[in-house]
Amino acid sequence: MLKRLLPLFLFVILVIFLYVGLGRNPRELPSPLIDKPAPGFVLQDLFNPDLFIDASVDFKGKVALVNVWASWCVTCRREHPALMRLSKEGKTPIYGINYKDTRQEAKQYLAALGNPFAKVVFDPAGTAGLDWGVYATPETFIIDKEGIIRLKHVGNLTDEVLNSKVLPKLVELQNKS
Amino acid sequence: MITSRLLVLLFSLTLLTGVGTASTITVQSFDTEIQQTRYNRLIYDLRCPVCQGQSIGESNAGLAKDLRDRVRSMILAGQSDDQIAAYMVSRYGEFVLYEPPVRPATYLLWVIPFLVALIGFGFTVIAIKKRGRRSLNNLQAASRADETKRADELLSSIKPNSPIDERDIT
Repeated sequence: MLKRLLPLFLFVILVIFLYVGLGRNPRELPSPLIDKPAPGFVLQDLFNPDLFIDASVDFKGKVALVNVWASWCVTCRREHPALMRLSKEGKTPIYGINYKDTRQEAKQYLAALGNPFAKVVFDPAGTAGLDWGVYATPETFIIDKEGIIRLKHVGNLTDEVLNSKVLPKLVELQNKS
Repeated sequence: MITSRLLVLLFSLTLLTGVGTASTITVQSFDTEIQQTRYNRLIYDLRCPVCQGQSIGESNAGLAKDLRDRVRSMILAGQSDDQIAAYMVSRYGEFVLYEPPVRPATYLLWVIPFLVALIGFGFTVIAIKKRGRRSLNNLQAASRADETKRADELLSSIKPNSPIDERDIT
């Protein structure tokens, strides 16, 4: 009896594994940067080439969102309204890393869709992106007051992602002080 | 004379094809040949995070190119292979390594193939032993006297030039 049920038992286990695998997104890689200090960089401000933004200084002090975007990135355009809403609430500063873009196109993009960012870093060569482990825009990081990365999301900030992942984390970190 | 010349020609041709495939995507200059070899090996050992299933050497994605450039500049800056691998892992995670490191978290990953092979081997051994025992039993049974006697009777009952015989020959 047991011998006959064994294949069925193994099959059920296989099905469970496959089912769990179906629900996972293979494109979303676990970031090794979680709970590590945000990688530093000093790069030009998007609007003012004479102004330099230092991630280790300018991104600290408040729980903040860091959004990696580009004008050529279609999904960024789609998630832009969500960023606008968040910035209007005014609870969390949003910093932008403009990734592999041109100054002109990036500025046009923000002029047309609105600028949700407190500061925008201009990273045309993608050097900061490389240090932050960016592989697919848009990417959104949450950093805490000490400048430590607490969450990373790759892809569109849908309502579901915001409500289940991003907003709870923001509230949790903001209440921590 | 002609054959040796031909061999040299063939050999140099194979060298050409080797260089050709290695440089289909990137033509990079290095100070030494060792650096070039290290580069060629490293870019095929590192997995591209965007185009999963391809190495950064195979991929045409923008990020793969950035990572290749980074590998090159790190080699030129005198960094070791381990340092370059650690740099990539610290940014993109262990996903970028085609060969996962042996750690408690990956023991299962490394052990399962051997375990499966071992189980398969065990089953094979058991099956062979079973079959061997069965044929041995058959042999013993056949050697029993009464069986032999019956076999003799059967044999002697077949007359020469019987229809069966003729049919067998033709």
